[in-house]
Amino acid sequence: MKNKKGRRGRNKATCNEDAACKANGDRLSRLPNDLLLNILERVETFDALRACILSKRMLQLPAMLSQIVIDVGSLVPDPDSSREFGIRDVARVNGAVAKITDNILWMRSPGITIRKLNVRMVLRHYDVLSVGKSFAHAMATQKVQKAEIEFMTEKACADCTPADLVDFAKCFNTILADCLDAFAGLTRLWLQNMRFGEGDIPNVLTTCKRLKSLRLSYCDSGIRSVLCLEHAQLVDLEIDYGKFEKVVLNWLPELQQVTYNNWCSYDDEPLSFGFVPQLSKLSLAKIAVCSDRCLELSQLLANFLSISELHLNFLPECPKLLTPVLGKLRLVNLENLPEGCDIAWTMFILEAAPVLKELCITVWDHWCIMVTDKEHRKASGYCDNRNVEWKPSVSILKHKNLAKLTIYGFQADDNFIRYVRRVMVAAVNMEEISLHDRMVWKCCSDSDPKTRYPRTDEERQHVIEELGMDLHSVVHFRS
Amino acid sequence: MATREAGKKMIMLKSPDGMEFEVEEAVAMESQTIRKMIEDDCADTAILIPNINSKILSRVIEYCNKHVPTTGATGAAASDTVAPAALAEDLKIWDAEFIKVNRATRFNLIQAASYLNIKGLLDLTSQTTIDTISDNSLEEIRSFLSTKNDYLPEEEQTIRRENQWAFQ
Repeated sequence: MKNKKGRRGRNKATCNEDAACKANGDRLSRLPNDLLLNILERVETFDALRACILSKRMLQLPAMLSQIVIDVGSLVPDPDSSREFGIRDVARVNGAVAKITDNILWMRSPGITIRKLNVRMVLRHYDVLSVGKSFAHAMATQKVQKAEIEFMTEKACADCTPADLVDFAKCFNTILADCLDAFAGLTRLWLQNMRFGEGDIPNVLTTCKRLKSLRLSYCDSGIRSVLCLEHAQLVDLEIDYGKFEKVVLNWLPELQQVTYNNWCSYDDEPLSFGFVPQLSKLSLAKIAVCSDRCLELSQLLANFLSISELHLNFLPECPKLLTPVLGKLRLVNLENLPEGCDIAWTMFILEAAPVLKELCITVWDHWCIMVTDKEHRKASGYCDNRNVEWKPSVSILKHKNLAKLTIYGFQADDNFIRYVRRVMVAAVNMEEISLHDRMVWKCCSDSDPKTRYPRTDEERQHVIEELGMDLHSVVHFRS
Repeated sequence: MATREAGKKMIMLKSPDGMEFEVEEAVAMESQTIRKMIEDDCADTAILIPNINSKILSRVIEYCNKHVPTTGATGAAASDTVAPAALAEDLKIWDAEFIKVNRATRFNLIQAASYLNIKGLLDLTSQTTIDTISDNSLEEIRSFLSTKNDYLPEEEQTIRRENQWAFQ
């Protein structure tokens, strides 16, 4: 694509230019180092290296990069391509990651700070040991501001047996013990597909002293285990698909942001808050929310009133109960609201949060992943009550701070028109309303029902007239 | 050529090949380098811009004219009615057209943007240059970047051996 565009972009001048280039010699590498580095640091290091090995002059540059991003994914062929990619290929490309990391970090020009060092690789013992040593060397010899590692496993999460999860965790533990220096300097760590023993994850946190950001995907310390987290530096925590019964944020004085997706807990409070004085952003998402075991958001947030940003992808309980705990919200993002249901209840957020600046709503039934069989839904405890009961608690609501409303899945029907009109009446200082069509993912591009999103100027004009105000400068159709 | 408008301070920029460009001060101050000169009172009459010929300098001024906040090339009242997001979209389209230049011009613009310290222009020109690298073979990249192969044959052999991943 890019290739073609580039060719189209160059017109007649190209011929003259090629002649000029031949006459003047090498043009790009005539630029001074700092400008070349500025260009090369805009892409992943593999791509930068591809450009650098083209000439001797350019070959000096990798040693001076201050931003190094090495991703095994960029050596893997596009999944759409027919090329087979077996375990031997994984070993080959992962080996290349280890070798390149080694080359770049051991041949650095002295005195150049590494602003960011980011490696994404498969958890294979010898490759990771090599990368660990290179990281430790870099950290010992120069300033490394950000050091980040993401480990993938040879098997995808869906193919992992419980024994695989345990094996991957053991492999990681061994590497951790062998590369203490490297892990002590890490600022971001992302682990996937690991079932740890009790005490292993706290041990990871104790070792990774500088850690600012931790993500655990499909990780836990056994089914229905409790994870208790304490760390002096951690700012950002993300957990998805673990089998934890409960995650306790016990003592995390710097923590600002928590994302917890698709927990698998029977507890009313899958997440509990200890000493987290800086925490202000909370994002919770779940595919299936059981009606009888619904997360009690009001209870969860009762001891945690400083929250200013909230992302949810499920319907919360009765708005009345929630109202007292949402007072400090500045940004609310509600995803996966069911299609065809009244969304007027979300107005309760305006009532509950007087300082709210931004409200984003996504109305969407993702049919591909939705369980549509009624018996199955019942047996798995899916919630079928898709309407939220709500009555305005004040007759005339005036909201002074709300400036931005974004709706994904907007349709030109009464439900949405009424809703936008209602928000407009309440939000007296509204600056921008963005209306997007339904999201269409690749997986459901065939099955998606017809949209009623206004496409033509005429349809859009009609919607604006329906909204009943002069909103041309406020309402934007983004799809 | 810019014309003098009421209440707007004008600045004269001179290229080394003797051309003079009269531009609004606000437009010239899109360049942090010029801004500093003006703020330090080193810009009474005209500013000589070394190393940037008139062809490139006029393109740079064209860019600054478009990107100066509040009043763009499209008219003074633009920002009153158009939301910031729409304006940004418009600028993006304009940028895409602006950067459709040959490589030599683009490399010159990179140097000019760097000397004059215009971050937006440096980002645009650098990003356009590097965008051609991904998904292309080494020979294609070599031609996009017009990089001269300065290896001896045996050196090239070694490079190929050591960087097998890049040739697959």
